[in-house]
Amino acid sequence: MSAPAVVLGVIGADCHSVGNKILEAFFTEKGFHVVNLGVMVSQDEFIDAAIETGASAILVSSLYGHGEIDCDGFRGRCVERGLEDIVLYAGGNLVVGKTPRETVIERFRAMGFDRVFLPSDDLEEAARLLASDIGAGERRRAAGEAWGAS
Amino acid sequence: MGRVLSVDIGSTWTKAAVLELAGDASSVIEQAEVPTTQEDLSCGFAMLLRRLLHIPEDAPLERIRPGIPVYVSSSAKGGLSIAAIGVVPELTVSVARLAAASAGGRITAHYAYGLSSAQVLELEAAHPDIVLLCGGTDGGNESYVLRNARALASSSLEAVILYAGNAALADQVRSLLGGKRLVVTENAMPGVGVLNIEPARAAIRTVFLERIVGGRGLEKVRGLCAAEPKPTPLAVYELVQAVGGGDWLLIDMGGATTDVYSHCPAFRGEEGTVLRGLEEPVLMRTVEGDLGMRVSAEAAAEIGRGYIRRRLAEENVPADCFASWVKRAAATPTVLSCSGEEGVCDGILAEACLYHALMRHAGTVEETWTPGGKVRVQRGKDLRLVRWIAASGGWLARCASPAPLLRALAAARGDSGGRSLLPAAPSILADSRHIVPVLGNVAAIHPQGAAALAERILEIPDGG
Repeated sequence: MSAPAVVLGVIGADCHSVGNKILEAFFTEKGFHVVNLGVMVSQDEFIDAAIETGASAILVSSLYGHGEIDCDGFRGRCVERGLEDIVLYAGGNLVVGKTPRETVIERFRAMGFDRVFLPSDDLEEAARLLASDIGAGERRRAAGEAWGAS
Repeated sequence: MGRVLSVDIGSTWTKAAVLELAGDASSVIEQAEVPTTQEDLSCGFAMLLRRLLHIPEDAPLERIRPGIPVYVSSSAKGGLSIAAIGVVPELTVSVARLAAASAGGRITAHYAYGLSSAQVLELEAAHPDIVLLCGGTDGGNESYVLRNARALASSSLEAVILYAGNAALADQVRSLLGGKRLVVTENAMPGVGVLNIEPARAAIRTVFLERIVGGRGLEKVRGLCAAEPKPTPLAVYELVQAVGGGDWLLIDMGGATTDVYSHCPAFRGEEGTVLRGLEEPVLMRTVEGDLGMRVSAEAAAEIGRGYIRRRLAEENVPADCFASWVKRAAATPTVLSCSGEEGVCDGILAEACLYHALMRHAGTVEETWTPGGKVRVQRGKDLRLVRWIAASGGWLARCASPAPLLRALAAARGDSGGRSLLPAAPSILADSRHIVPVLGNVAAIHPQGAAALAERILEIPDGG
C-alpha cells in the first residue's frame, strides 16, 4: 500500500505561505503523499488535483479571516464532481474576531468539513486523526464494494 | 555534414532546397517549389529532385540516385489527427492537448472524465489516427482512466491508442487494450502541474511514420530518404527549438490551421504576481483548426466576425463582398486573391485568424484585491516580452508588410483591456523565401546549421 495522497493548499485570495510550507513538511514526514497547491487556491483547483491524484483527503487552510465565505459549498462541489467520500479538513484562522471555538467548529462542520482545526490545536493529533479517517473511509469503501459484488 | 536536399510536401505547395550545412557558414544553394500533386505526392517530389539535382526531365523516380542525403517532411493528407482524452479539463486534458499539438498533430476532439457511449460513437465516426489516452498522476486517479480504457477496448476504433496516463495502471491498460494497436509511454503528467510530454511526443512521431507515410505515393518517397519523413509541424517545432534563444514567436498560417510556436518562459515570477494552473513549457505550439485561410475560412470568418466587421467598415468593403470571397476561398483552396477588393478581403480574413490565434496562445492576467493588497493572477503564458515574430506560411510569407500582423496584434491587445499577455512591442520577420519548413526538416540532424540559416534568412537579430 503506497502512501495516501492528500491535497493541501491555502484557499481563496489568501497569500500566507509560511504555514503552508510547514504543513507540507510535517504531513510528508508523517508518511502522507502531500500534493501541495500552495497559496490562492480555488475550490475547483483543490478538487481537480484530488481527482487526478486519486487523493484520500483535502486539507484546506485559511489564515486571513475570509475562510467562511471561501469554504462555503465546498462539500457540495466535491459531491457534484464525484468525490462523495473524500475526507475534508479545514484549519487556520478560519473567522475574523473573537468567535468562540465551538461556534467556528460547528459552522465548518455544517458546511461538510469532517474536522476543523484552530491555531492552538496539536498537529501530531491532526496527523493521527487524518490517518484514521482515511483508513475508515477505505474500509467503508472496501465493504461497499464487497456488498456490491455479491 | 555537407550538402543535403530538403523537401517539404505541403497541402498546397511542395517546396525544396539544396542546403550546404556547415555550422554558422551554412548556405542555401538552390531553391524551388511546385504545386503539390495530390493524387500521387511522389510526382511533385520527383519534379523537384530532377530540377534541383539537374537530372533529365524524363528520369523516373525509381531510377534517381540523389547522391546527397534527402530529408522530407509532409503535412499533406491533412496532417495527423489526434483525439485527446484526459480526466480534469484544466489538468490532464490540457496536457494531452499540449503533447498532441507539440508533436505536430491536429486535435480533432478532446474529452474529459469518463467517456459516454455517445462520445465513443463520436470518436469512432471521427476516425482519428491516434487516440491519446491520458489521465491520473502516477499512483493517482484510477476510476476514470480504467473506465475510458474499457470504453476504447469495446469500441470499433482502429486508431493507434497511445497511453500516457497513470503509470500504476499501465499493466491493466495493456491487458484491457490488448486487442488494439496500443503504445504505452511515460505519464505526460506524473504529478499535479508536472509536465512530461517528451515521451508522448516521441511516440506520436513513430506512429506518424507507420500510419501516415503509407499511401498517396509517400512510400516511394520514403525509399529515397536519409531519415524517416516527419510531419511538417514537428519539423517547424524542431527549427524553433534549434534557434532557441529567448522570447520569440513563429506563426505558420495555412489554409486549414493557424499554428503558433512560442519560445519564452511562461512565467517570470514578478513581484506581486502569482501563477495559477499549469506552467506551460518554454517551447510551446498551439494549433487552431478553426482558423485558416482556405479550408477553414468559413469557420474563421464566423469566429472573427467582430473584428472583421470593424475592419470592413474601415476599408469601406461591403460585407456581402467579404462573404462571397470566403465562400470562394473555402471551395477552392488553391485560389489566390487577385483583384483589389478580393485582396483586401483576404487580408482581413488573415488578420482575423492572427487576432484569435495570438489571443488563444497568450495567457491572461487579472488583478485581484486581497487583504494583503493587490495581487495579479496569471494564467497561461506571458508573451509580453516577445521581441520578434517570424511570419510563415502562404499569405503571411507573401505579405510584404508587417502592418496586418501588427494591426491584428494591437487590436487583440486593446480588446482584452490589457488582460491578455500578448507581445508588447515585437518586430516582424517574414519568411518571404518560404524556407521555414525546409529548414525545419534538417533542424534535428543539424541544429546549428538550420538555426544559422534561419537567423540569416529571416534576419533574426544577433542574440535573439
